[in-house]
Amino acid sequence: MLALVLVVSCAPAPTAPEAPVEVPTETTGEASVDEVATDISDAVDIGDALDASELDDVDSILADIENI
Amino acid sequence: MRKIATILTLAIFLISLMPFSIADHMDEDKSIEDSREDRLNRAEEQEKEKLKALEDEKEIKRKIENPEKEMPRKPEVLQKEKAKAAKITKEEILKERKFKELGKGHLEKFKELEDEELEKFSELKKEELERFADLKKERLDRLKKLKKVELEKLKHLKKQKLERVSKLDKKKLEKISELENEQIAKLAEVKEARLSKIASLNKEHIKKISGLHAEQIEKLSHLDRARLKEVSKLGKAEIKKRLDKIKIKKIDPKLKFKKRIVLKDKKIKVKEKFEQIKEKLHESGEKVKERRRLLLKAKEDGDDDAIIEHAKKGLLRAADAIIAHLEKVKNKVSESEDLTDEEADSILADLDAKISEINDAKAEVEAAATKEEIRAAAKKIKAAWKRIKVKAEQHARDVVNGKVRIILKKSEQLEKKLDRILAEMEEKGIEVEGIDGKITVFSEKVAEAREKLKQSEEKFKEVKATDANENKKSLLEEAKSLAREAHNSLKEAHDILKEITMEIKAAYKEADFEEEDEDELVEVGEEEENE
Repeated sequence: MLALVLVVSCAPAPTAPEAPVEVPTETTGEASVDEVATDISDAVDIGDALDASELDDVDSILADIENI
Repeated sequence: MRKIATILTLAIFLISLMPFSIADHMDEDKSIEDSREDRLNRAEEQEKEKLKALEDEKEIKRKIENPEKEMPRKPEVLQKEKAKAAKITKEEILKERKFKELGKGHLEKFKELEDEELEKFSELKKEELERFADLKKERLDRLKKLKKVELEKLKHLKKQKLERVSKLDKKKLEKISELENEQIAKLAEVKEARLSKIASLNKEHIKKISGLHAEQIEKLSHLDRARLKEVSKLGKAEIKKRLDKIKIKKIDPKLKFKKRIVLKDKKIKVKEKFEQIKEKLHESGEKVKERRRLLLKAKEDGDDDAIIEHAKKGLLRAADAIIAHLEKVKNKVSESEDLTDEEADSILADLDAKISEINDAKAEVEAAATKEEIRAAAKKIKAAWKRIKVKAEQHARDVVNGKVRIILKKSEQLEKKLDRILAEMEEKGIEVEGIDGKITVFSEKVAEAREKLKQSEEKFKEVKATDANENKKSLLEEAKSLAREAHNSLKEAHDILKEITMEIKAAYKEADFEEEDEDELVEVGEEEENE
């Protein structure tokens, strides 16, 4: 009985999922250095923006319509 | 009888006293003899000491004049000996004609030197002395710490070259002075920051580089640390071969690695339009989802009219989504400064053609009334989309890789900036522990990115050259993955760069990161291997 109480009390309490922490981008105060950091981040944004994965539903509906 | 007895007793007494008297007399003689001997010994010892001092002096002079023949001695002993010898000759050195003929300012610089420091300059000719005296005090202070033989290696250098070399720190100066006169002169033709970069290599590599032609050394000196290290490991013939493929180009200071300038107003307009297109694409996507749900339900219900209606509308919304996606790519191409006008125009024309193709298909969908006609239109759009999707992805990659290429070039330029700042710090005697090593790591990360980007671009060429759509797709995935790796290496490089920047700023407040000297406006290009 005591063991059961101990097991229950020691079990980790369910934790709420942590919200993603926004990590501030450190700057050096030197334009030529910080500009490259911006470019690196822009390259990711452009890559994401031009990704065609948003059109996965288009592929699905075209396949469905072919078979009506 | 009594008289006789008295006389005998007296005689015996007198005889008994004789040995004492003789002994006393002998002692007196011995003492005189001893003191004479002592004097002679002392005189002899003094003579010996004098001779020894003379011998020592000669020996010290001989050792200073021929240090290479000298056996290793304890430095402090050697220094004492040198100081002893120099002390004797300093005034004599300054009395020499060549020193007397120096201008007042020049002579003052030598007068300020310590005895043993001045002795290192004693063998130089008047014009050589003048070149050394022309140097700023802190530079001469650095050189006077060198050994006499090291210093003499620099005496042949002309004014500008001597100035460049004198800016190096002691460790680098020692490495350089181990080279032959001609080799030193060739290296000293290279500008300070680049000379310092070469001098930070190991002795073996410096020697190998100094054996190249002056033009080859100049070209090599423009390479970043990672490439310089890589090339200096090669054999002499391979170095020449590699250098033949390297081209050093001056860049347009207005463009700064960009291929064109897009005006600010245009950029703002393009950005606004991008947001509208993004919204449109999102709406079309939602509509496609909803139509698909309704279509599947109509199919389940066996409702032919509803099937035709939802299939037709679903097809039109799908075409809208495709067009919106192509517009998005067009938008990024329009604002890209990493494409030439010709490249951008060619991509835009291709995308416009694809949009027209989809619009034509849309017209067919609108005219369709039967299931068969809708099916045919769907097949046509699907086939076009399959083809267009790969092409659009290629264009998107052109934009993204162009961006990564510019980051790479800017990072290479930043390394040159760091070299310039580091050379300034070196001249001022400012040291930041481990900074040289960190810049090398930064350079290696950039080199890693350069290699990955090169591989990615090679895959793209294969994508463009292949006809089979399936092959294109897998090659495109490989190319995208390599470009991502290049991007990650640049990100890591930039994290190191931030650290370096902060450390430099803390130690050297005058560091100017915005200044751009001519070396920073140079681009290193390497021809592809044609096998």
